[in-house]
Amino acid sequence: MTRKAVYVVACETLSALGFGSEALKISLRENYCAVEPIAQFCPEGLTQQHACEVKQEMLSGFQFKESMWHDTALHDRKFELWAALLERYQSTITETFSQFPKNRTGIVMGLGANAFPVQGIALQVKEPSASGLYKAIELINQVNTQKGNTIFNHADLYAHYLQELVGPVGYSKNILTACSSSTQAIAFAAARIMADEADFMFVGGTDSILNQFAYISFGKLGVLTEQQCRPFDVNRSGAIAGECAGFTVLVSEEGLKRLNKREKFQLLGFGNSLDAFKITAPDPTGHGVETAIRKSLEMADIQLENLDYINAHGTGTRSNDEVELRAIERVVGDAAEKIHVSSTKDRHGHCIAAAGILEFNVLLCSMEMGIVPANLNLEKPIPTPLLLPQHENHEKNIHIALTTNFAFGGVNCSLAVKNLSI
Amino acid sequence: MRLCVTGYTYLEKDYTCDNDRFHRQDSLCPNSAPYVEVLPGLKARFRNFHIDTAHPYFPKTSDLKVLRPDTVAAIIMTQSLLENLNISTEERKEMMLLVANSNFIDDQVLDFDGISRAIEKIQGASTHEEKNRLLNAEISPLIPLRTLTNGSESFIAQYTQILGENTTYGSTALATAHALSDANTFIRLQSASSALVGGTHFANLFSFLNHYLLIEHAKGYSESSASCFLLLESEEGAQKSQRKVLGYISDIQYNEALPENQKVDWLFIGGAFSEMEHQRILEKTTVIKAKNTFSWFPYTGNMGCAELGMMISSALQWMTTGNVASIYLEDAFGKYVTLNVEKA
Repeated sequence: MTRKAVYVVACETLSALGFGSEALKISLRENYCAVEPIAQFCPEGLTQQHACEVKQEMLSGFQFKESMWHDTALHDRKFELWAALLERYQSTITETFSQFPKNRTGIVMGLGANAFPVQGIALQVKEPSASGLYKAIELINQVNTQKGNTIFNHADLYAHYLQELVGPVGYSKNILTACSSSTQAIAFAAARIMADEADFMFVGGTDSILNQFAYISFGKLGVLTEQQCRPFDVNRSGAIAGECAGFTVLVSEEGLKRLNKREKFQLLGFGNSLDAFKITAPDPTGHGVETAIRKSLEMADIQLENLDYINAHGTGTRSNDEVELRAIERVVGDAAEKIHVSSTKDRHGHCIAAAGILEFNVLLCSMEMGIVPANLNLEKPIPTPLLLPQHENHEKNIHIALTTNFAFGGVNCSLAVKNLSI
Repeated sequence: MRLCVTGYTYLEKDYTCDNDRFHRQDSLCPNSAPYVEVLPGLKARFRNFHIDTAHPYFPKTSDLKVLRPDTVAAIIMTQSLLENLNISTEERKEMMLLVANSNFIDDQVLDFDGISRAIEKIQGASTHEEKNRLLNAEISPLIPLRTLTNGSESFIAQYTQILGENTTYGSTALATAHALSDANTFIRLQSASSALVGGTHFANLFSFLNHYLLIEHAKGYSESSASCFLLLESEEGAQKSQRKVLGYISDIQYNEALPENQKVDWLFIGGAFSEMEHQRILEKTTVIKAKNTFSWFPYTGNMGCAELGMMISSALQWMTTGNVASIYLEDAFGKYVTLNVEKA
């Protein structure tokens, strides 16, 4: 079948680089780095003590203050970020949804793991000493937040909350593939439009691992650094934790007409693949990463000489970056010398399941501004023919670009985007 | 477009694809799992399957430290299915893998005693620094892997070498319906020619905590661990692969008004967590005129993301050629999906 075109008409994020695309652009242009000592809990005594946190007050005008949603936001940082984002853009989102028949719309969320058990439940469960399990439920919660809630958080809550605001939608689904969740959410939403099954798809993502339990366990897993995050540096030592909530709106040609919008970006293609290697480590051959990138280029029908930039996954970990670079090199071959590659995780941190939505927005903003974001902390690059801009952003009209994300367990996703404004 | 089902596999405590009990509706036994008190004044029952550790497809010992039990079952079942159907390495490279999961916290591999111990120790800590140091010493670095949401998908891929388009959905029963819909979309787009689609569910206290406040009537709450996978292809793809078509899936619709007076041979209803919920769904679906109506609830309880696959599998086993079943599945939030299954 002939694939229908997919256009991107909106993308907004709340991250340590600011609230909304305009703030994100300023942060990118000024090379603002949001790494600071953790404020959400006291990190004294931990090996790692820094992260990229959202600092502003988020719940001031939050709706449903007396309802379970408020309790949820108090307990679940992911939900707090999501609610704040929707609060700011609610009128635009509601208006946009209202332009489409319900059966031509959908919501796809990219999310991380469940929140930890909550205090309300913990207080209701049996005598804590009854078993290790019950004790754990109560005690995890005490360590984790001290804030309290009444429900054990559920992945579907995020989309249901959105529907509380905008009314019922055709369907909503949650994609749960860790660091590639929201990237895959964009891909799977795009597929619906390509197959002419929808005209309007709302894609959201939200995640935060900035709680003691998750932060400590990720730290012990060896993926976090206390030094600067240096993607693609020979001396890289790990990622910095981040947090984000974001959304993007994908529409068909018919959707553009309904919204009376001018096309600015087209999502040309996507590619998903599996390493099928080990859950504990990425495939050192990078075959799965290569396949995802290759598939996105093939679906997009891009000539390699027209590919300007890749916003890479680039976690700054020992295991990821070189494998990723080598995979890109194999795909692009001789075109490598003209393609810029950078990772912006050095300044906004690794937002896990929301990494994809934030980096998608970073890519769109970079395209709008005509800059390739620098690899801020890159001092000694891994030898590669690819162009790795260091320290300062590189002025460049980005016509066609990719953004990639890869998850624990070897779930790989690549998206190909075309800037229609140049 | 109709999706062709060319293979299926399932596992529940008493019902597996290779035992006789499942093959006849009248041989099913009412759920006899004992109730346990989970909250003051509230009892629930959970059924869990037994996994044969001597099975030739039982995962490697080195993986067991991060494997949830429902994932172990899924690994065994999917390998068996693909081997039984002689699916080649080449086909697996392009095959789509879509997995729905209900519960990512289990009380076997996650070592709750260890976590309790860790947190117990910090109760006496006088400073944040001391508390953090104690926590840091006790918390397992494997927690992110043990609770990894795409754990089942990634392990299935590792053991089956499926490499194609893929994702993991969560976390209500409807997640499996979304997997079916996306298989249909990707096959239509020719991004895949075949798809292994399924769901797994692990019934335990955490799943209970995840659901009980969402449902109106929790009395008689019942859940069962289960896992079910379907091999799906387009009609053209099935002709090409020369695999026998067992049935067709069509008309997947979400939250649409139920078709009044639709006449079908069978109606399968699912999604209830308690007896009253079961009765409510039964009443709601009476507008669909069926010669036979069936629900797994009285036999197993809720099977989370495995329930849709179990309903489709039982429809294909019990119906005769040309029979059509309407399937109605509801989640804990009251959202629902309907679809049709036709026996080939």
